[in-house]
Amino acid sequence: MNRDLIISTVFRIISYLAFFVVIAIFATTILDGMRYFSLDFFFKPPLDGMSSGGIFPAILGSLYILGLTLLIAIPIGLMTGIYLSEYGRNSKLAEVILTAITSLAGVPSVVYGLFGLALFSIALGFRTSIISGSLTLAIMTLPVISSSVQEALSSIPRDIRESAYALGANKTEVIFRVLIPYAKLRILTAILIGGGRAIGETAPVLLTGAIFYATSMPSSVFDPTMTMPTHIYYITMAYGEGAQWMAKGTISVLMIFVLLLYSIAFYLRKRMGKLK
Amino acid sequence: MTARTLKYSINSTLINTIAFSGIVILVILTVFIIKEATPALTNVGAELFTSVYWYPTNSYDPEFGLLAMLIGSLYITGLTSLFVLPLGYIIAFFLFEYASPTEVRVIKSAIDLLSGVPSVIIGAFMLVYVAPLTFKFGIYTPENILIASLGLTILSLPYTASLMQEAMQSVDRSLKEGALALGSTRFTAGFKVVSRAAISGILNAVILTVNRIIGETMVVLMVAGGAAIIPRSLFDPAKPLTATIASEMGEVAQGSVHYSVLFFCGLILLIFSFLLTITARVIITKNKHV
Repeated sequence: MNRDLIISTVFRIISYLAFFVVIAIFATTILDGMRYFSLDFFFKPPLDGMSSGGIFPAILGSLYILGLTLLIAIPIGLMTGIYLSEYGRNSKLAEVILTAITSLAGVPSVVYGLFGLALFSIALGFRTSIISGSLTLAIMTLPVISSSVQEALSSIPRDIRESAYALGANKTEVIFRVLIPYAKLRILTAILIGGGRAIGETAPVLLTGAIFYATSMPSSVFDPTMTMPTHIYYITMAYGEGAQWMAKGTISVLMIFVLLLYSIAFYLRKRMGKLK
Repeated sequence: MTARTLKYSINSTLINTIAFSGIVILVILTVFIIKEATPALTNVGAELFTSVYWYPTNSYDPEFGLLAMLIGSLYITGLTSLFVLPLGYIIAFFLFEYASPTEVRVIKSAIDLLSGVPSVIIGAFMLVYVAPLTFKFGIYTPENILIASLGLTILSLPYTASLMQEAMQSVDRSLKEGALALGSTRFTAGFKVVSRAAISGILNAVILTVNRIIGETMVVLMVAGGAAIIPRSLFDPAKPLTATIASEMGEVAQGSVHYSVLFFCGLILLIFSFLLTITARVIITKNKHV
């Protein structure tokens, strides 16, 4: 019994330490950067070699890429998830598709960057642009969304499907009018998490869509753009002391944005837990 | 044909077609990486694996030895695993066995939120706030293997801990209760009974964690130091494969040998990730049938 007490104390201390390190990281990155928040910081482009001005083009660029990424990834992820749950259950083909999706989920982000560079930027001629970056990120987000949709649909009780069929609905009506609305919170959670991951991705965007400084706003999806994560990378790695405040400010904005997406996602997940 | 049956056939066709996109993407991705990497093999050959000299931009006699980068990747992955796997297991064990419901809620929420933090922020945090401290300990470079591994540990901890906790939770409660009823301590019940029953899930967590660490780019790009040498100590700088790709791709001429060698680095990473993913899947499916 005594040994149990010692081990539980040691494990508790280690877990608490890890917890406090996490909190310290959140607090440092968010609070330290918040000192630089101002209207100019959010609505002006960087000036004088990143020593003054703001990060408006980076915020806008990140939102552009996020929006376009989700626009591409959601329909494909939804359809794939629907197929895996409703059409291919226990079939060999679904097994193959699932293996492909799982393998895609494990591919390193920088390899996606290489792929996006070779296919979208070079072979298809999109060059370094918002569309190349978004297509690359959409492919990365696809496994997240499709496997969550599959899980969400598979967990719906049988009798709900059967009542809908009994009322005369056909298969796609059951899926789009009954199952998807039933699982919409879980699907939304997956989209938020996929979006949170996409907006923070750096390496793939570095290779396919980002430039470190833009004097003008992108006028179409075929223009390159600044983004928040690549902006943080460029400033911390390549600029002097005079620009570091901007990196800290950008870290804080990106951190708040991502934590907000994740908090909403986890809140929804918890609420669903209570409904059941 | 009524509008309703038309809608039905359009929707069914859409679902049945788009479902293949996962396979199509995987095939195209592999083909493209192999295609762009092939010139590296034909032009440089075995030197890729045997040489430690990396002078890709030397115009008279460029050298493309990847050995130092390969060892750098494996060294950092090994060291990080050494930190994060026991730590993740301890936290998962604590949450599963000892923690009160409030502790579970608070610690789990923090860990879940940490999983959302972008890698560039962890990299910047280590670079801006942690690396400068190393001078106090007389370490000659603030960007080194140890700092990179600590950053990667923070980054992969949520992943390891939640996968391991899920594995333990999936074990039937009666096993644990049986052990406790026989008079074993909670530690013995958790360590010798539950962990053993959950071994396939725990192994799966280990493999997926290693896969994530080896492919991680931003942290090693920002704080590993970027020197293509074979590391001799924890405080040496290193340049893993991922960092090499991300830092040099912007400056190479498209179609050059250097360009192709960077794709070859990508191919090595891709092969690692396929092998690890497939191993994890085999472990999980094998266990399902038992």
